[in-house]
Amino acid sequence: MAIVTAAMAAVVFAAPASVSAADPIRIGLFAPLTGSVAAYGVRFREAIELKVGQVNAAGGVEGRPIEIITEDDRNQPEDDATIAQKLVGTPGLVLAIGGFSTTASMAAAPIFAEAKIPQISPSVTHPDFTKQSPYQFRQNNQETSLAQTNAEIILDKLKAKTVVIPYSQDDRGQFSSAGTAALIEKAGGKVLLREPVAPNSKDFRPLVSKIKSLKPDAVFLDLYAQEAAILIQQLHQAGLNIPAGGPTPLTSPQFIELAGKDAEGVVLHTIFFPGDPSNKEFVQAYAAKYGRQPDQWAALAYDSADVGIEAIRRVVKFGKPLTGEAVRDELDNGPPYKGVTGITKYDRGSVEKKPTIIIIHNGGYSVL
Amino acid sequence: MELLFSQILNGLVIGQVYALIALGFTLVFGVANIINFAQGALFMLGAFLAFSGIAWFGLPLVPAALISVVLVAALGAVLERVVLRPLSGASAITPLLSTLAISMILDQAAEMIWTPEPQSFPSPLAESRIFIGDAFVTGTDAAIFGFGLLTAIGLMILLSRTWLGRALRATSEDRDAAAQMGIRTDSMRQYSFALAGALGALSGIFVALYFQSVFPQMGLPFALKGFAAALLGGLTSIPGAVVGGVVLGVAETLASGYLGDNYRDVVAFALLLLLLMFRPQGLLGDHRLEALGGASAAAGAAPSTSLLASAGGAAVRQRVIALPAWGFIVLGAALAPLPFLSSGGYLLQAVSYGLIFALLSASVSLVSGSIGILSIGHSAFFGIGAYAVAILARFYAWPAEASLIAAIVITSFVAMLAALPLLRLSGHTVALGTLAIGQIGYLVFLNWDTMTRGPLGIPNVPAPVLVLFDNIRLVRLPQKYWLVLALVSLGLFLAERFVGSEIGRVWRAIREDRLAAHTAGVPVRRYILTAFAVSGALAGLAGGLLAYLQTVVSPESFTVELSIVTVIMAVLGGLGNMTGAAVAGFALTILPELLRGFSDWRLIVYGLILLVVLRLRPQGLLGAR
Repeated sequence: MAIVTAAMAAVVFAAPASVSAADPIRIGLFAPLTGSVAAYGVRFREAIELKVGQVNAAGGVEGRPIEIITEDDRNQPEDDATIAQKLVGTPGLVLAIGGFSTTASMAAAPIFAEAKIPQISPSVTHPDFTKQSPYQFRQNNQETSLAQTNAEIILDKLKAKTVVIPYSQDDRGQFSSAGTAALIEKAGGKVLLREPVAPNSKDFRPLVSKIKSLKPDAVFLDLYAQEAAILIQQLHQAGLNIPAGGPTPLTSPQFIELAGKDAEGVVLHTIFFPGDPSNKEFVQAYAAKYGRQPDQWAALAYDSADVGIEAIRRVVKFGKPLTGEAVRDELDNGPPYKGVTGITKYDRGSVEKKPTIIIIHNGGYSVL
Repeated sequence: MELLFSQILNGLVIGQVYALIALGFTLVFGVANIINFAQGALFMLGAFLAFSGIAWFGLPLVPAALISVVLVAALGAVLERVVLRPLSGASAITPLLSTLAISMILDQAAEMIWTPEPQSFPSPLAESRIFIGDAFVTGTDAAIFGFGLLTAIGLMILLSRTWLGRALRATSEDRDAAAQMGIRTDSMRQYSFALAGALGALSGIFVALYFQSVFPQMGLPFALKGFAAALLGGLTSIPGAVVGGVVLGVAETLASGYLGDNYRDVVAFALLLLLLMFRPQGLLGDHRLEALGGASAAAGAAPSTSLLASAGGAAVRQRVIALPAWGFIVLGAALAPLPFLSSGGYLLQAVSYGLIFALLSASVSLVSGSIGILSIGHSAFFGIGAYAVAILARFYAWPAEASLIAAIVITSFVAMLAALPLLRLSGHTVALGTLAIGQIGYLVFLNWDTMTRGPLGIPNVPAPVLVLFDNIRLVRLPQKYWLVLALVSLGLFLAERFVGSEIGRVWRAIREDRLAAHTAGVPVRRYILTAFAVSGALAGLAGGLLAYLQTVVSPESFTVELSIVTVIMAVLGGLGNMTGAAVAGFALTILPELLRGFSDWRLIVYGLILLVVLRLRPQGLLGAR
């Protein structure tokens, strides 16, 4: 039975051979498309399909169309390793975009490194990711620089001397909140409470009561949109109307949708501001295709695809053989690229983009 | 003091929600003797149908909620009729798995209908609130509390004062006797599912109001708390479910308030295990049932504790297909040339995972099948093995032989310890006990930052180094595949040897009738602990291999979902049948890969395949031993 299944699998898993110049250039995308963080992965897919659609409509890369191979990893590392193997075995595939979380991206990283296929994660902020090999690239800022902006919001914009920081208990939240708290303490502020919020935990009433008894000047919601929305609503229900700030994930329009008027006045920072005139084209195209405004995740994925496709285009244009290695070199050494999330210029796989501080006002965002 | 008061108030509100979920669960368990894992999915559907009523059809909250409750109640009844009733002659475990398959299908369908994203569910009562010092109660809280209490009282009146209630209770006490008295026990089961659906929907709507949002993944976490509350209260007791819910709610709120939110669930499930140790019948449970083989016999089954016995008490048998122990070695040798047959890594990676899960599934089948303690907590043991190897290999540079042996020994020891609170439980109760163990394992991985690096996980686990073979480093995937293949074959060989030995015979004697085994002079506890030690060793080995194969170990690999998948594998293969477990473990790991082409439909197709297989082969593909 096992042998039969294995043999069956061998047939199904076997990839077709031979590549010719007219064949499509393939880009892999792996992200959570089902499960509890699917919302972010779906933004990735939408933005990348939009970009690739635009490129193909304009004649592809030197006449060759781009094809996206999309895989759902449910944000499970064991799926990521298998998917990475599948992608590196796909003929004509020279770039992979993905990994939503650090652990998911890191599980795939060694496989891409070994196969010499560059991997761009739109979202990962953990510094360790790009240290895996020269084949890992990111689009988002590193957590260390995000923490600086977090601290700036708390100290300068919210004018808080004492703050509480509830954070989501995952790789991003843990790193971000620790960095932010350290910077606050260094600047003479006081972090009264820094508490992890467990995955799937949605009942914040005990936390709200605790925050209320500590009487802080401000709260920094180092959480994802849904948790932050529930927490801010429950804080206001408890009669605690203190200034609030949040990290980049809260720039998802979902936060305003869920929290409604309780989101008013929350100060955030982002490297993608939809109101910026230079982003108008992207925002309009995205809204026309999907009926919603793009958020930072969509923007990061859009730029990931664009940076990657431009690197591929240069390889083809310069007449070099199109391999993962050549694309990697072009990513690493390419000219600075201006996208919707700012300027991408890789330094050992990482970027440093300028954040914009924004405030939620009348159900939208305005620059603060 | 004021803080304590407001925390207790907070706990009472969330506890009332748990109580409602627990009530639905208790009803079905009492009447139909089924652990209804679909309760969480019905809960989620209730919330979403009410949401759709408001958002799509512009209905006010109350009519939308009422329509939703009626629809979900009807769905509960339909599910009982279509999916569960045809299985009533099968072993007690089969319907449980069917409810799991149903919840898988419903959860995925909800993601497709309503998108996976959370959506706003405004509560008209959120604005009104009363302050008592710093503590406060919102209108939503008052509604949850009032309606929750009313529902519980209404249910008690229904059960104690009406003919329907009497018939339900009679069915719950003794199904066969009730049938002889002219009660349509089939209809009673259907009523209990409909009532449970209604309660589930109602609690789902309350939760939606409380959080002012709905999301398709809301079912499972609340269902787990509902199970815990029901078990705390005594599983078959209606007041017990309410008390259990409130106790759980207050306890975890205090834990969250004074220890930190990350300790909330640790405390909730540890409390449950502690209680099970000292008062296995629950807070308000009836001790007399224990003499009849524990709460599992509450439905009037014959005094057999066997999971393989049907509701009527008779063991259902079918032809068993099983390899002899050496067959696993032969099979392993036959699979060895695979790396020469395929060029890409995809097949090897997928088959390696399949092999690891074959071993894990055998480990689950060993306790669940041979000894009859259905384990929905093996993710914890699997994780301990993985973390042991990851930590020893990466931070202490141990060679593969040493770190794998350490993983096996540590996991085996922990599994024995974990079995201690389970010794006095049986039947379905013990399954819920293992669920608590699995949850605690996951929470320890997530919270023990100094050891496991918490949510960051442990990346960059080095390639295995074999010190006995001239320090060879197994860097390439085919080499890792051979390591996995060799050790999985060996593990399955040993597992089959255990099951086929005298020890295995005693295990099965304990499974079939614990009391009789005890009377015959078998040291039951020692044999149960041995079974957990062996099963833990296998799970530890599987986990250790995972760490080497995957190179990243992080908590999200060891959630309750994994435990559920592995128990499905063990049952589908045929409980206690190592060959079946290995085949099912392998096939069910590869199957989602083969189904990738279905994209969004993947998990629905998977659930449907499960339902069909359970219907056709209720004793598992290769037969239970």
